[in-house]
Amino acid sequence: MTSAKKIEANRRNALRSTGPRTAAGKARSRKNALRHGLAAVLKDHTVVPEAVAKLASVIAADSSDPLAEAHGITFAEAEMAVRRARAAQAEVLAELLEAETAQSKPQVLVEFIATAMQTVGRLHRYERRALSRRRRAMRELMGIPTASRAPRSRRGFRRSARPTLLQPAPLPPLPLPPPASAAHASRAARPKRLSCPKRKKIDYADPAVLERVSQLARRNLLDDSWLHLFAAGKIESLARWVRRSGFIVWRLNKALAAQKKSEPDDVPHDTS
Amino acid sequence: MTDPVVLPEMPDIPADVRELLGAPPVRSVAELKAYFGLLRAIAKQYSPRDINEWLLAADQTVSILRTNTLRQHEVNLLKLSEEVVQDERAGTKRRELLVAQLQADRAAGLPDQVPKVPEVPRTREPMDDTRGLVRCLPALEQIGRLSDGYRAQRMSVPRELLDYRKIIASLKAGDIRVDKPMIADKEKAVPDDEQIVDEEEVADTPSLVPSGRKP
Repeated sequence: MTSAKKIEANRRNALRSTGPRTAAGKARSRKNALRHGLAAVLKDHTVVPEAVAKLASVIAADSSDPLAEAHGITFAEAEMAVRRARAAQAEVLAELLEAETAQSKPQVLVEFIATAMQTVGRLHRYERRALSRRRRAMRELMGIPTASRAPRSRRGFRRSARPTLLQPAPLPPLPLPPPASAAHASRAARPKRLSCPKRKKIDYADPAVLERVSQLARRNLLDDSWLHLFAAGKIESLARWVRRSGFIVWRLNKALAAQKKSEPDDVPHDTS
Repeated sequence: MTDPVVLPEMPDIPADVRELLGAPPVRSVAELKAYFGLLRAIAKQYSPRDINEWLLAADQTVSILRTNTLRQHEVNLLKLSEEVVQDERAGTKRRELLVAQLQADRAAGLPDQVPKVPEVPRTREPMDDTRGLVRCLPALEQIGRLSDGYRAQRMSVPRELLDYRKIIASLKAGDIRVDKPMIADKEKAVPDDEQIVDEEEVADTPSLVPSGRKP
């Protein structure tokens, strides 16, 4: 634990630190919390950058709408945001390329790639949002009203299967009238249509299934021919395969562990 | 000091359009050349008529470039997953050798000291475990999500371009119906509920290899 003397000394020292004093220091510390600036909100809306104004004037040139200029500026600002997000992504990817050539430890490199991809994913989200803003601005510029999105259902529930608390009690079924015609009678006598059987679940505890699944997983993921096909662009994405197979491998390991746990010990204990 | 990049003449991309499109989002000369090559090919296909159409063509170019980059990283990762396991195996082997040497030294009555055991080289053996792959899964998953995003972006461009041209044509003809926007109708066509997929159900499918995709 920190001593009282040390705490007192820290407090005395802290009184001397009053942050940056010079203009340059203040200007520098203003950007301490800045990461990429993609979520920044402009405070001064009266000043339009030159590039934005130029693009806006070209975009809104043919429109007769009095609000065209404003929509054009929105469009151009969104386009600039798209470019900034893309430039940030390119920077991260370039850093990754440098690291791949410099770093030799595969484990470190794998972690670096994962982190970089996470960063690129975050930046891509900004790009998508800016693209939506740009699209909306273009529709408004053309005089097309923007459509409101259909209400999104809660994730994981189908609309029909969503639980509702205020559901009234179901009414009792009405007695059906007897069939009026012969055609109706024959239709009623027809055997009931069979429903599609449910998909059989894999029994992961079955050793034959385990062997088959592990064989398939290995062949799909680790065969070099897959890599060649993939590099040549014949296969669109391998990641989905790997995701799915990885899940199966995980289930496989889990099932194996459970199997081991449930097996009784073969060697009898010596009780003498 | 690096030499300035010399790009070939591009008569099919007008100078004012190039200026409005801004700097391409790339960091290397090879990527720059690929970007303009792809943009020219796409422009040849779509024949953009105004700056909005040029921007859409640029969007598609960037999406394709990014997808290709991600594909390269994906291939690298799968190779790395093998190297991770090879590294681990070499480390285990070296540890075993160290312990054996230490035990032999003790049996001979020598004082304890770290024995000198050479580095064990990596050996390329048939992969019979998925440890390396499991290490790479988070990165692969990220790449998969990103690829899906870029692909969706790429696929949306032709549709958007077509809608844009239809609207422009209708505006010129003066028969546009503002109460039924074309873009909005298409977006509403697929309800969100239909897109919900049960991950477990997908993973439980008995066959991992779809027909016609076997190597």
